[in-house]
Parts: sequence; structure tokens; C-alpha cells
Amino acid sequence: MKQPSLWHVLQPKWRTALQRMREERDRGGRGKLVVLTVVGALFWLAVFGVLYVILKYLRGVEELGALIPNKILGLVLLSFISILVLSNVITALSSFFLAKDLDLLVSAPVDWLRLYLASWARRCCTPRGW
Amino acid sequence: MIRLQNLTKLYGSFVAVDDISLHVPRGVLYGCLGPNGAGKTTTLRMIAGILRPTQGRVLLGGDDVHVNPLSAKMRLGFIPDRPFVYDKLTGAEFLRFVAGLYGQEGESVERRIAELLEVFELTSWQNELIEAYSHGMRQKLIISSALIHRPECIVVDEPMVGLDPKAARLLKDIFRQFVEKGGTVLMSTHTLEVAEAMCDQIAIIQHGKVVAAGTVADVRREHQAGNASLEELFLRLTGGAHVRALVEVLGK
Repeated sequence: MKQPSLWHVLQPKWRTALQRMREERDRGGRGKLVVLTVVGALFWLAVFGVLYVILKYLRGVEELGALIPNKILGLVLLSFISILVLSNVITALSSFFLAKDLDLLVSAPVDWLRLYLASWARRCCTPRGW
Repeated sequence: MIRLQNLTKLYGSFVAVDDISLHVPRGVLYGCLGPNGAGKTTTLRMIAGILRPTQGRVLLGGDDVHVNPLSAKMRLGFIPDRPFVYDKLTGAEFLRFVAGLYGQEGESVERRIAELLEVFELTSWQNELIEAYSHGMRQKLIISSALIHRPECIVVDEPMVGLDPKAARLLKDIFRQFVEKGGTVLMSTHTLEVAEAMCDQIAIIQHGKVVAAGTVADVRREHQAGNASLEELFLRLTGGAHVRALVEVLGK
């Protein structure tokens, strides 16, 4: 039996994404996008500025100057990775087992590996809710 | 043909489906009746390959759903009780997508889509997003999607919910024609009038077990129910008779 391509299994998702973009554009979403981009850029610049000042100050501390920023950055990195891993495990589980279209896809003659890959690709490539 | 052999589903120690064996031959419209929580939907979901049985097996036209899932599912059109549709697709796109899942594409699919949309009076809506459809229109679209690949068997959970009388009648006629052409329909329903009017054979399920099966006349005869209506029979078999007695007492 001919199996549908991965692209086909993902079709509702990319069509939904395209449709949402079209609706956003029709609602004049370009202005919103510009505002969000500017606010986002300002936020990250502020984060960078604050961190730069703190790290620069710490580097100036005698003897411990190089060590403290290294340890702090290591801790921050580790915390972020842990949060990301936990969040992705929860997202993946809900995507694989609680997706609303699961019954439709599982009752169709589609190989489980294709379903898994489609679900994985969807999680990797699209924001939540699409 | 749908055959269930000693089908059992356990959730921990809770027995949702208890050793059900049923045979739905070709050309038969079979009704699954039972009170809420009797195990009807769980049984249908196992037939559709969505749930894995704890024991037993499901055969669709000779293929075991859990051993040869792809060939078994090719024979099946499944309509769940709470169907899902993609709101941001148009009706035609959704049908094209479902046809593609069954490995079908091209001109023949386009013809089939046009034919089904025409039958269900959705032609003028085919390029509208599904989010604009009413509940009944969504239900019609789901039914169309189950028929798109010309299945041998249709398994349908509560088919009449949300349909207007015209669409309900249309669906009855479609199922009747489908079985007359040699197809098999297994439907679960709470509506006893629908079951009595449509089904060639019925199975009454209670606490995950089949408590009666056969034609309505067979079930009446087997349980010495005389000319009792299907409702009377159903209440007698599912322990609902005491509810009626209670209502009578409270009404005094």
C-alpha cells in the first residue's frame, strides 16, 4: 500500500500556518510584527546591557575576578538547559499522546514511524498552537 | 466483515470491555446499544486501531487490526463520537488530505470529493474554512471523509448527534445503500428508535459484556419479552427497569 509522504501528513499544519499568516496580514498584522520586533530587540539589548555591566564589575574583583563570572554563567546555562529539556519533554508527550488529531491519524492506514516523525517535525518547526 | 474475538480491555483493575465476541457479516447494519459507560466507545476505538486490546483480536475482512494495521485500516471508515476537523482547512482541502492518508490522489479523488460534497449539500461550502461550518455541516464533512476511500466497513459512534432531520434521513439512506451493496456498518447509538428502525442486528452491552445479541426478534424471543418495545427490552436487560419503578413511586 502506498504510504502518504511526510509532507502530506503535515499538510494541515502548514496550511493552518499559512492561513493564520494570511489572516494576520489581512488584519494589518505587519504593524504588530514591527512593534513586537522593536520591543523584543529592546528587551534583549537591555538584558545584554545589564549583564555586561555586572560581568564587567565582577571581572574587576581581585583574584576571583575571572572565576566568578565563569561559575555564574555555567550555572545560568545549566538552569536554562534543564528548563528547556523539561519543557520539551512535556510538550513532546502532549504532542505524541494528547494531540486532537491523533484519532483521525491513527485510525488511518499511516505507518507509526511516519506519524511520529510528523509529530516531531511539527513540534520542531512550528510554534505551539499551530 | 468485522469479527471481534474475546476482546478485552482493562484499565488497571477496571474492566472496560470484558471478553466480547461478535461477528458482523457483510451486508449487515449492526447496532451496538448500551447505557453510558457500558464499553461501546472503547470497543469501537479498539476496532479502529486507536486502542490496543488487553486480550483478544479484531479482524476486519480477515486482517487483524493490530497485526496488519495498514491493510485492515484500508478497509475501514471510522466516524468517532467527537470527531476532529482542522478549522483552518477548507472542506475540500480536508477531504483531499484524508484521501491522501489512504494513498489516494488525482482526478478520481477530485471526482469523489465533488460527488460526496454534492450528496451532503456542501458543494457551495467546499472552499470555505471549516471554522465557519455549523456542527451539522462538520458532521456531514466527517461522514464524507469516512466514505472517501470507499471502505468495506464503516464503524460509527453515535452517528445522528447534531444532524438535522434531513441529514439524519440521508445518513440512514446512505448506510442502508452501503450495506445493500455488500458493505458492513457497525454503529453505536443511544437512540433506540434509530437502532430499531435501521439495524438488522443488535448487541446490547452492559458493564463491558454482551448481554444480548441478534435481531430484535431474536432478542425478544430469547428473553421471553413477547411484543415488548426495544426500549422495554433494553431497560430490562440493562437494569434500567428499577429507574422506571422509582419514577412511578416519586410521581405518586
